[in-house]
Amino acid sequence: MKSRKIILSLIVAAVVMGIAVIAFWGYEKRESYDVTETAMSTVISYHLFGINKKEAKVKMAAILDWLENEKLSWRKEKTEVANINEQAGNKIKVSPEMYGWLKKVQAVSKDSKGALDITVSPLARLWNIEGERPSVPAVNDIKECLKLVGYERLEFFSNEQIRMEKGTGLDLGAVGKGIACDELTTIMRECNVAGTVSVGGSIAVVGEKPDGSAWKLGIQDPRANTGEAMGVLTMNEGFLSTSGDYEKYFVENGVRYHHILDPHTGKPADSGLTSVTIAAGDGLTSDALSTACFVLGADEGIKLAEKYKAEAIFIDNDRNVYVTNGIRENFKIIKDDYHLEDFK
Amino acid sequence: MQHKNSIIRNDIFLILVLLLLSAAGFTILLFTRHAGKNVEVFVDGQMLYSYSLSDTVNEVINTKWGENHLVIEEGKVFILEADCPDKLCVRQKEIDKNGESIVCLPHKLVVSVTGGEEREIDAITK
Repeated sequence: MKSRKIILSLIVAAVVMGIAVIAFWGYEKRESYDVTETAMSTVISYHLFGINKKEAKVKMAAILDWLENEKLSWRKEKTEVANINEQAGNKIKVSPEMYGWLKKVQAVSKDSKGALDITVSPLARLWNIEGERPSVPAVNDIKECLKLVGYERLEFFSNEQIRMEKGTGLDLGAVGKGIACDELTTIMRECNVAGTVSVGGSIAVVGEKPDGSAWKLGIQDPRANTGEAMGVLTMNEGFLSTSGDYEKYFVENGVRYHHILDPHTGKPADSGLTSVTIAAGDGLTSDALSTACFVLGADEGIKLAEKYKAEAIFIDNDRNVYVTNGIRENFKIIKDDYHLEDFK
Repeated sequence: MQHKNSIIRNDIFLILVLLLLSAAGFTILLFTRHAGKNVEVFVDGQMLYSYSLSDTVNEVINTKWGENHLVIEEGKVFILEADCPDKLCVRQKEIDKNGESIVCLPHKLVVSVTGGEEREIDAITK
């Protein structure tokens, strides 16, 4: 009798513990883990689901640290980009990942006829829009700078070798967030984690949401406070990048000078758009295309997006919104002052 | 025989009560974890202050890099003023939902809402 009672109590204890484990597991699986922090000189927002979400976040933060301090930043000493800049004029061997990134960017540069250019660095430094007191540079200074800018000044050779002409400066600012998104999704998949991660507003979407619904992604309203969406795009998997005239800019004599420079004119791009959002199969491509399309404008931009099988949302100065067919059904405008239009 | 039966009945009763209690316990645990609406202030990755979203707060946060004037009012959080060069923190939307944040990059300041109502969108482009 006594032994039966002991066995019974053990069974009850086991069942209670079982419920505890299942409840905790279910809770951990369904609850999101949300962290916002700064890294790579920008804002990183993690929104992760799955048992390993916290472990994944630690690994993801380490990857961002690696990208910033060893690979991408031109401001820091001893990064690979800093080394490439220092070695301008010489043929050098780069890491396989750097070679891959540069080749991919170079393809978009060629296809956009230089609207995207990662050698725009001397010009960006002249404008210094992110600096304390930016002002419009003298026309002659811009001209001088433009002589040092041109994606064809970067050459590729076999065995992961490159050569950049002397005086040229590499700046991966336009695609760094996208590269980060690509690297982060690898970790998310390895850790079996679903969710979104935003690197300075470039977003990667991985896996299925625990409730089975599609992910909802807001498109920043170019003329409202940061964090206010003008529309919502639902998607299951992929990468989203936006380039706009609103993030970094200064106003001089009533004119807005933003940070996306047109490598042909040496001035902020003036294509009639306030923002371009691209959805593509990888982060680097979506980042590269959003910058290139913003510089090119809607008419040329849509052709470029099509070439890369990417989807796009263009917003112009009059708040007209143009959306490619592939995502039109998944996109909804949520602000009355924006209106959906057909491409001309 | 009857004696044995009543023991089994009592045992089953006990098991059911324990199961119910544990289920109720977990429900309460989950519920309370969800209900805590807090505002957490981080500087350079360290949490310095934590408020309830229902508090009224009018506080200047001093960082090594500069100041941000934090306001919590009627369940909404925003930065009223700051001496950072870009003022992007002041131009951010008021926040009040779980996982929403306001960031001042130059001052390495992050203000986040935890718990409470879930936000409608998972992420927003910039």
